[in-house]
Amino acid sequence: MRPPAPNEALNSEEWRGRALVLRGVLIMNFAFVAGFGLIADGLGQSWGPTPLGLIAAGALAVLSLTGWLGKTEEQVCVTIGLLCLALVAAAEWGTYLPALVVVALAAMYESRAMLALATAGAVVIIAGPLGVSADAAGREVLNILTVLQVSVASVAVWYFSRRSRRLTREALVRAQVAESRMQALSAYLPGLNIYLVGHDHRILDVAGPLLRRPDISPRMFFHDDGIGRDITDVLPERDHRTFDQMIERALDGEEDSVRTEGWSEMGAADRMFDVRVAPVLEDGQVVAAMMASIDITDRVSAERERQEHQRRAEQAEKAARREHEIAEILQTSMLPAALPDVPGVQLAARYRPAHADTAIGGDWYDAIELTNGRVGLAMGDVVGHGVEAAAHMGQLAAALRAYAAESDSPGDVLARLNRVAYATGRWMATVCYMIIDPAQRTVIAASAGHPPPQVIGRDGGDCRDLGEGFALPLGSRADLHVPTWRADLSDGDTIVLYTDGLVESREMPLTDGLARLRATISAGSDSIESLSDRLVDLACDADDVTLMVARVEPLSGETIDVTLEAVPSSLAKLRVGLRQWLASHGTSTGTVQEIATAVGEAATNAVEHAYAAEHATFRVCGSHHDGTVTLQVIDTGTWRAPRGEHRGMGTTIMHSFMDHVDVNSSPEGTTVTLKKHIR
Amino acid sequence: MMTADVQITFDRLDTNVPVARLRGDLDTHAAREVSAHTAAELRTQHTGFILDLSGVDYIDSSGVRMLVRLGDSLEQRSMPLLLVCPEQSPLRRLLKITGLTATGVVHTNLADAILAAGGDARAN
Repeated sequence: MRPPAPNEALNSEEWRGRALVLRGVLIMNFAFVAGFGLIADGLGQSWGPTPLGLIAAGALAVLSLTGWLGKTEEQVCVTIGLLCLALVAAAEWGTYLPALVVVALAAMYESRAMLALATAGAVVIIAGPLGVSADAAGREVLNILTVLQVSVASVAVWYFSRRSRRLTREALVRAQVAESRMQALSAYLPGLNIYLVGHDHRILDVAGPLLRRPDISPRMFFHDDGIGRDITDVLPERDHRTFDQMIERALDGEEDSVRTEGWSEMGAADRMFDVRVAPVLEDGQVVAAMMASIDITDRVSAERERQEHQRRAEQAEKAARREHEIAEILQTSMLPAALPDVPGVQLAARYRPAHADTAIGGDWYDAIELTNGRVGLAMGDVVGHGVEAAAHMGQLAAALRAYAAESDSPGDVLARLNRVAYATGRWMATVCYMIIDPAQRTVIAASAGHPPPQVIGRDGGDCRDLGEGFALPLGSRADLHVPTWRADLSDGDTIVLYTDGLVESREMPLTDGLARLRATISAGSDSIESLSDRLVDLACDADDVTLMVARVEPLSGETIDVTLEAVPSSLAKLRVGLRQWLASHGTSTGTVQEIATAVGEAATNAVEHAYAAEHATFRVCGSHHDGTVTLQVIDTGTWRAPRGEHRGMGTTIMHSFMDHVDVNSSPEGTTVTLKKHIR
Repeated sequence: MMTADVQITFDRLDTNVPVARLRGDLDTHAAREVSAHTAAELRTQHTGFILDLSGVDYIDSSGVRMLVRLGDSLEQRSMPLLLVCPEQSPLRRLLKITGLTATGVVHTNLADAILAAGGDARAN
């Protein structure tokens, strides 16, 4: 775009100044004709409202209504009216004083006063040709006013021309300043389009890449004579209001910005622009508003793209976190809530899930009560991570529980589990399953690719791998033969089952991990709980850590004290422990049988007392002193009196088999005390 | 296979005197299961029923009560219950104390029991 040349701006301002002078003179004469025409009657009896006066008054009224009349012109009219009133008063009362007062008042309004005086003087010029005759007083006033009118008219012309020159010079300076400033801005920010807008909202200058576009004509911004168009004519209607207000505020000294879609008029409908409107200051005065627009389409789309990337990344992270939670819930729910209470075997277990930012593995352990006081211990690790591994682990856990109840051979149980794993998707898992028989002091076990369990004796020493013949992991082939091996145990033997998370990690090779595990177990410990804690601490937290510790308890102590759940299945467990304890005290087989039967009768009563109440327990404690065994069965129920034909049978049996039977029943519970001499 | 510490296997179901062999401990837990399993296997053509307790190591009063009740209900179906318990069995003393031996249903070996029930021992 071709900005208006400085000399063109000069010309435009000059002409505006001249037009202003012309308008002032025109108004002045109109007003004066109207005023005097209307009140001529007051100055001389022969005067009356003249047709010319009426026309002039009408013209003034029209101009005033159409808004063409400026503030100054309205004041002129009012002043003339006042002056006319003063002249009427002078004629009526024969004195100049009122007229002089009005003139003095008018003079206080600076240039407007000069206009007023000029108006008054013109009375003479107009009155003469109209053939108006006045009395002596009126004539004198008119003569004075004539002189004043001539001099004031000269002053007015001088003033307006001076003002016009000043305006012109200011415009020239402003245009030069704006030009250089806009060029600098435009060079500094390529892509920036700048409009300079004057107080009358006319475009003073345009700069920027817009000007270099062949489809943009200078006529879009400037009239043929070089005078800028009103900015609202250039902007699309959609944004008129917004930008009009912004420009207005900028001209008041405020800065503002707005983000808007491109204007189709400029061929930029699909672009985004950031438009800033700011005041342009010269010597602390706002001389123009500068409107700058820059194409931010690329920036906006880059920003949107970045936000989209961020959103996707957050979603992915959220999904991963959710999966971790689900896997953890799944996995934890599969693990036994509590370990069974098995006389002759102490059990402890630990499960620590992988750290939150790594995937949960498919680790699992289980302890299953079996018949004849035996307990089955299972430890497994499904290959893979996350929800899928946890789900497979759930299948394994359920299947193992079912097979463990059906088969007494660990190898057989694992072979069946293998068929589950192979048939349901060939997922792989390592599992070790063992059955500990505390009464027989034996363990039978089988392992499918699982790290070898460790065993250490009561007196410490070095721990060793338990068992031999480890098969491939489950799921590795359709038919897997898993050998079962058997080992004898001694009182105080401690068995440690674990998953590879305990012995292998990115930082720790398997051999080192195993060595550390063995060293920790060999270091000995007072309780299996503290041993478990120390073992868990060995592992890093990148993988799941699962371990189970079983210790074969000696049942040959001086006393026996067990607390069991008050359910029928506890009776067999009690017999196993009791027989072992009695045997360790040198009791003969027959006597063991009798005592076990008598205690069983009392215990059966305790179980029946519980009335299937949840979590009810009963306690059996016994001691051996001087060849006499004393046993107590303690429950919190009340003794049930023998009922029915055969109900007294239990009591009969107790009395037949024992030397002393005492039943002590109270509202708090029942204690049955049994004594028998054993040798 | 059962959940309690007792195992039960049925034999001679095609003859008129079938045999159920018990192994393990016959306590209150086991008695409930034995009772349920036995009732499910008996047919109208059976004229007697033998419970072989040779493999049982332990019995208590609830086990005995179960035997008595089972005997009573079979009696109503004209199907006498006979028990097999060898002389050296640890159960002997208890069966005697509870008066079960006195009823004459306890036999020392399976062949005697089958004969007593009017069955053919050779069919075993």
